[in-house]
Amino acid sequence: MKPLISGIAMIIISLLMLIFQIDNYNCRLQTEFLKHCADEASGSASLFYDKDKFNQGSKIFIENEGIKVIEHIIKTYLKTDDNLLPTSKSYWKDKITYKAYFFDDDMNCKVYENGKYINSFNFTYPYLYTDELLNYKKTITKANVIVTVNAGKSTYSIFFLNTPVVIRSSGYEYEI
Amino acid sequence: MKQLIVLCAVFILLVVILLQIPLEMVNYEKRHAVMFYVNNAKEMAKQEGYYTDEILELLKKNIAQKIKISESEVIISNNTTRVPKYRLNKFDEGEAIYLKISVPFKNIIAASNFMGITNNKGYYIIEIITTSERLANGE
Repeated sequence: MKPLISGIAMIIISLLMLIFQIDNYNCRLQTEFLKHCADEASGSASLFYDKDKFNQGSKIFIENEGIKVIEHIIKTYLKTDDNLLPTSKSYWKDKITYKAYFFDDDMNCKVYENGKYINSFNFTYPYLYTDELLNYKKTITKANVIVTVNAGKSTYSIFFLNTPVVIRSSGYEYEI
Repeated sequence: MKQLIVLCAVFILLVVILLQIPLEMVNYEKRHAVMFYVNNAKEMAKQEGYYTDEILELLKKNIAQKIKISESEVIISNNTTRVPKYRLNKFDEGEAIYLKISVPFKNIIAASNFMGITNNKGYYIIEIITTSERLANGE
């Protein structure tokens, strides 16, 4: 009886290790994909700016269009509905939230959270930006759009594990 | 004798589980590489305004080489953007550059024959969009 019990225990432990490994690799891949999503969201949002003001030498982003493209990219990449709630095809389970900073050449930064304007502040170049969620720092030296996407908890099958919250951020500036 | 039988049964099951661990590692590396190549292709398409034949051929070639399949097995969706899209001042969903790619993975379960699993194949599907950096003529 003893060898049988030990054998079953070994099989269960091996299975748990295998399940953790599969979940962990999935989580790493999805985290990488989330990084690409944040890159694309900031890159695309920074393509929409006022052409007249650009001809006069300053880049002022069109935030409404930026927000539309950010949400469209999150919806496609992370497979969510219009309210950024993950669909059944999505890896993620929690509502996706994001924060966007539009650093314009008029030295004013507009901040949007989940598509809603929340505040703005004045700054001067070079400005040391500190991300609220990830705490990383970035020096802003020209017009820039920073997007931070919070995808919520990752999906692990082993219930007693404390699953990490996955957040990725990206800032995009074009050399012109 | 009883202990030997139990040992053999446990050993066989453990080997099956243990063989799956390196297979997961290999498949993870392959999926990661596919994601990398797809992202590179997207960056090229962003500049061109669409997925040109050259971009898609290079993408297929890289994936086929990395995961050792033939290029014809990589499936590019018909919805993939094959005509130029332009950079506008307003966001338009129709002007987004879209790609959906399915890459077959032929060996996803270790010792599948031993367990009587005949369908040991899965597809890794990536669906992405980007906006065009290509300017319309005259701008």
